[in-house]
Amino acid sequence: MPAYALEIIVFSLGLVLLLVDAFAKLEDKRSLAWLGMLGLVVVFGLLFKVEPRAADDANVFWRFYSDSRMSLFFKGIAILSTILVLAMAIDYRGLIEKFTAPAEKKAHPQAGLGEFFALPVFACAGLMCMASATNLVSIFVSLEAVTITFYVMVAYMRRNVGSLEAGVKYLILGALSTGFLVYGFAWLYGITGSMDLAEIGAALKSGDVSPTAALFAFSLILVALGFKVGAVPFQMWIPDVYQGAPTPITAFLSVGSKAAGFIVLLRLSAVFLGSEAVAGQVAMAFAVVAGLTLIVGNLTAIPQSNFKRLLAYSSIAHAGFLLTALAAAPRKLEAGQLSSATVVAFYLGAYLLMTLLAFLVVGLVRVHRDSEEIEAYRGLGKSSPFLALALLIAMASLAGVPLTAGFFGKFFVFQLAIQGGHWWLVTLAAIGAGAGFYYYLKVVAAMYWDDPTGAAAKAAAIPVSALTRAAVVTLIVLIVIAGFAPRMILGLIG
Amino acid sequence: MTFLFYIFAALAIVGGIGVVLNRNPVSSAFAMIVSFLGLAALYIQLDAYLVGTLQILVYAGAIMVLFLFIIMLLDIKSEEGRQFGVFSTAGAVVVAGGMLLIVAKVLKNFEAGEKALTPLKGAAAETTDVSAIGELLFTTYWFPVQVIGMLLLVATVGVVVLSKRELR
Amino acid sequence: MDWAFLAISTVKIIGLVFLTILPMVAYSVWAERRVSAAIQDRVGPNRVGWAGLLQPMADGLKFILKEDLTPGHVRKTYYWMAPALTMIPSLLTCAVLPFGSRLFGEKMVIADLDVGPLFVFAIASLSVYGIVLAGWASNSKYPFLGGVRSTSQMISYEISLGLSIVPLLMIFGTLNLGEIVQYQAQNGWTLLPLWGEGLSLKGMLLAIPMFISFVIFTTSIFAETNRLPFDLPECETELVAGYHTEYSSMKFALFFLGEYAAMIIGSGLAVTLFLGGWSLPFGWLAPESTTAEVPFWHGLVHIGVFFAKVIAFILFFIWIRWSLPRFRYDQLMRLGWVFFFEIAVINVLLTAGIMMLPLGK
Repeated sequence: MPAYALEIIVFSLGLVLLLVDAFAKLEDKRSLAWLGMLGLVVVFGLLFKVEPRAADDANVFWRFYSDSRMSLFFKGIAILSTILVLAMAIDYRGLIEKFTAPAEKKAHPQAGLGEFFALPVFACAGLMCMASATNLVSIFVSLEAVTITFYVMVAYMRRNVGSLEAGVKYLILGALSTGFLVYGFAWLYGITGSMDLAEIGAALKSGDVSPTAALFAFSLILVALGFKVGAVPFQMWIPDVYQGAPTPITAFLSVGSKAAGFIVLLRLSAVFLGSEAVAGQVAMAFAVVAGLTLIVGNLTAIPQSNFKRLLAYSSIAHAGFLLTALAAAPRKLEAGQLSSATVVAFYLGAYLLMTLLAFLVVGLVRVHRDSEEIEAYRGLGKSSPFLALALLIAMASLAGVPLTAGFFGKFFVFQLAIQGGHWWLVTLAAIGAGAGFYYYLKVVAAMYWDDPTGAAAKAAAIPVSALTRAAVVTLIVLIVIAGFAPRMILGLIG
Repeated sequence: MTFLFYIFAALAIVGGIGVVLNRNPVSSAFAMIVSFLGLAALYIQLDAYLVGTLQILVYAGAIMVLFLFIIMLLDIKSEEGRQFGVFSTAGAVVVAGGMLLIVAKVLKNFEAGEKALTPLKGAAAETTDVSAIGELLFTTYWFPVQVIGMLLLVATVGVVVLSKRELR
Repeated sequence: MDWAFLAISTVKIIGLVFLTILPMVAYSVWAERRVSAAIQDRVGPNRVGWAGLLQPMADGLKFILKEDLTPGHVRKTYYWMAPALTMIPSLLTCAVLPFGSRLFGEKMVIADLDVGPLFVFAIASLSVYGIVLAGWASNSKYPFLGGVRSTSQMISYEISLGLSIVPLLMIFGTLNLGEIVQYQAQNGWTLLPLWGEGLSLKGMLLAIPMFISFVIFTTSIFAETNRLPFDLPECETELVAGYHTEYSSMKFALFFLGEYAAMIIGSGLAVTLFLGGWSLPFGWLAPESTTAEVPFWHGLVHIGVFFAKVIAFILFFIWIRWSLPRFRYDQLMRLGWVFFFEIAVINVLLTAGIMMLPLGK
């Protein structure tokens, strides 16, 4: 089976969900989410059955598409995160219903719910397309498909002012960054005469292209993708949008949207870094943005008291580490050395696991305690030890405690930066990681050592459904496996 | 016919400036339409009839009508009296000026703009631009077209979901 | 881009727009009044000139002499711009209409564009600005409601209008209106495929989706030009006079004339796309190709045929107006979005299916 069949299946799955929702008159729309998850699990299995492109396959389609191991890995990330997001959405449905249910007496109380389960599937199809895009056109259209789906999902709780505000902010800044992206692409096409990344790379390498113009195109693209991945100084939207969006969508946004931004950034930076004329300045630009992101992301996270906002700043901080890996990309790969693409892919995989785990707990606490403040987590260690343990592991991994996935993610980044001799970046990253220990463990301290106050004191244990329990256990197991044996995941990346 | 280029380019730029400077949203929207018409004329001067016509049909004729419609329905009053602080004004000037400087520098060092375009080769040179574009869209570029199809579907679903009628 | 081209274009523009369309506008108002009178068993205006033929002149004079009142509460700039903005797009669209084959070796079309129907839709979509501005700039309730109604109506029907001609373009394989008419002259009109290639099983089958297209197209043109049964933007019983309530004198006349101009252009487009444009039935006097020489008197006959068809279509417009009651607004929207839109899409698929059938040419 060729790789592109996966996208077709996922897209058809989304259509099926929409049609079932419209015509089947379901009593309980949770079955839509189950159907979606089931389909995506099947697609995830098919991921291992993908056959490489046949030598005689001359379909024009391959101009836009690559089926490298790396893109398959990113497709896996997309599918896995969508499955988990759907699982979270099932737990979160109460809030969605509250803010979307129609006011008519006779209407189905879940009337606004069906699309909430279908849209992530479309976003997943977009993310998968993007993982394989090798042409400016396909990069742009799939990026937009994903972003527009996210605009809708962020503003989904339409009677909640926070959600709407987040949607509008995301829409306006997203549209602005798209403008930059297209302008950058236009310059790139104008100076090289091609939309194909391989041809653009060759043209930049040949030296016929004006370096000033190439750098201009690069800076426009960097601005645009800086918005998408949340790099400083383009990070202002992240805290508000993350806080306002429905929690499952926040999780999806922080994982899916970030992964998407980084795939594109990886592909495009490889093109620029391959050209002698501009490589130095491009790496320098990455280093400056990475340094800023590390400092701002980590230090502004420290005073946060809202857990969702804290995770938003943490997402900026992690973007800093990922950008460090890009900035420290080795010019010539020595034997046994990891390429920066591999490091980024590993980091994103690890980040997916721990962030989704954290958001699973956030979503449950939001539904049952009606709060996202860190105060609400006081005493969680006693009332719901299982969730507290899950959050403990997520926080430890996010902070980079050894024997978790997060540790090796950071370790590889530091390794790369030290090998490249970027000492000042290493220093900033170390400061950032140190700050990370403080603010992540603050949450852990609240769960286990602080006495609950107010309503939280009398709160009962949070009920955990079998599905959520399974998801949490899977994530914990994966985090620990990646923490013990990172080579297994590196093997998948190829 | 170079003077026509200058007329329409000026129209597009004046429209663009008008969008920014007008305090009344309706005037801004109109300035934008003027700018779009100027752009469309420039496309047509480049023999890109389809692109020029679509520019009018889609942007001036559909999108801006909706813009205007919404502005009028909301009855947004002009923004008069709203003052921007010294810092935000200075920041805006610095960013805009910096961008202008960079673009000027890039254009100064950039020769490709002075080269003549290479004429189209093969079948594309013999047919009209409509059939050439149509043919490309449905052969070479079918994959992006399909993805855009998905994008539009999602956008439609989103609009329906977000704007369902509220009962008072 | 030489002077001869400019001179010829100027002559064509003056000849078509100022010497033909504008008088036609004036006389379609007269025709409307006479026909409506006939339908309602009245006499109608028959005093000025023979059979009232000078009535349009008298009306025009009256409009110019009336006091041009600008109410105090309007937004002046836009209030003055609006009438011009309704009239100009209507007249601009006739640039691509082929109103004849050739005369003195010149193509009888002002601009022989390869994007004909798209150009018409693009410019026609601009005419909504005049109405919406008139409604907004008048700064009072009835015009505003009229403007809002008109905008949503025009946007809604633009979709079915555009979709309805897709099947035609699939068959013709070109967007050049001149070539479209030439094809019909040789192979049967879209609605009357009785000669040339049209006279085959496939041609007959294709006439079914073509007829559906025609119905959708004509209805949408009615809605786009705000004519009864879709004249809700100016419906007297609810909105006084809709978007032009606050206008008087020549500014009012411009709205009035703009509406009739749009009707004439709409008829011209319908005739060109569906009824063979300037061509005679059964391939009589049809030129070999778009580039072939056309004898002088053939050219004259073609121009005459085109305008005869357009006038017939205008009479049809008038006939409908005085025969059907007005739709309710929700019915109008429902018709556009729930019926025409879907039918037009299905029609595209139907046409594609018929074209795929292995029936030979």
